[in-house]
Amino acid sequence: LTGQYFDISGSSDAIAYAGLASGFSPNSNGFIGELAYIPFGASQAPGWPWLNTRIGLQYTYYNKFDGTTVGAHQNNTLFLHAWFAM
Amino acid sequence: MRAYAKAINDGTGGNDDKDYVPPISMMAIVGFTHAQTPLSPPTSPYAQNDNTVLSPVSAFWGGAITDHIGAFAQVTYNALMVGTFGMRAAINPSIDPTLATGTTGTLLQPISTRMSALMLSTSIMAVTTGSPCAEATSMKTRSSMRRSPMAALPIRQISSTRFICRAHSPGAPITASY
Repeated sequence: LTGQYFDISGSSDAIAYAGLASGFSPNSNGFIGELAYIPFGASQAPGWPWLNTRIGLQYTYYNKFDGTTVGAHQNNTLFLHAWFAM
Repeated sequence: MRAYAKAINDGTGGNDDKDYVPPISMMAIVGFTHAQTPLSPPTSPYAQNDNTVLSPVSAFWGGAITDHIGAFAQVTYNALMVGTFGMRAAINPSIDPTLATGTTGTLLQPISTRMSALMLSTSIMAVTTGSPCAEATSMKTRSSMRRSPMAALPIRQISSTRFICRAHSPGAPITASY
């Protein structure tokens, strides 16, 4: 289980951030929480001992998104992932 | 290379005479992303919300060339940024005054051409101190792999959690735990 506060800041640039939201600013901040499970951390995957996996559920909560706090929560994102390495 | 590329066993012993295993490895992440508010079009090639994306996908090769020189190569594919790792690279019209006034021209191009990349990288490493442990350790750490064929470098597994690295220079074996 991991938690994180993040704050991204940078100068506004109408060209570099032409695709971003209001103000052409990259400034964003919020929280990220993640719950992860590694099935074969202590044991071994049956039949494939060098397989490693990681399953994670991550939620990103924005207080500010691309320079504005208005509607920032609408960018909140839930991310479920499975990571395989062998 | 065959002398180093010994198979990694089940963690029950340090036998030298194991089957050959190619010094290759791979990793992949498949993710599902749900945003609180759906993206505004165009989001091609993705849906406006609830996308399942396979990214990145990597393949690795690493091995010894001589006693003190090794190589490491990887091929990695990264999909478009939208929907990857919870990052959101698109624009929400409700918070974008530019869009609110109807000038959507600047949005059409960046999303569909946003970074999709195939990367090929190769590195050659020289171990100068006669202790290959450091290289083997960093490679294993970087690839986040336990008991993977990455251990094709001079490293021998003796249990599920302990390894012995054999230095080429005279001296006692260096023991490292993971």
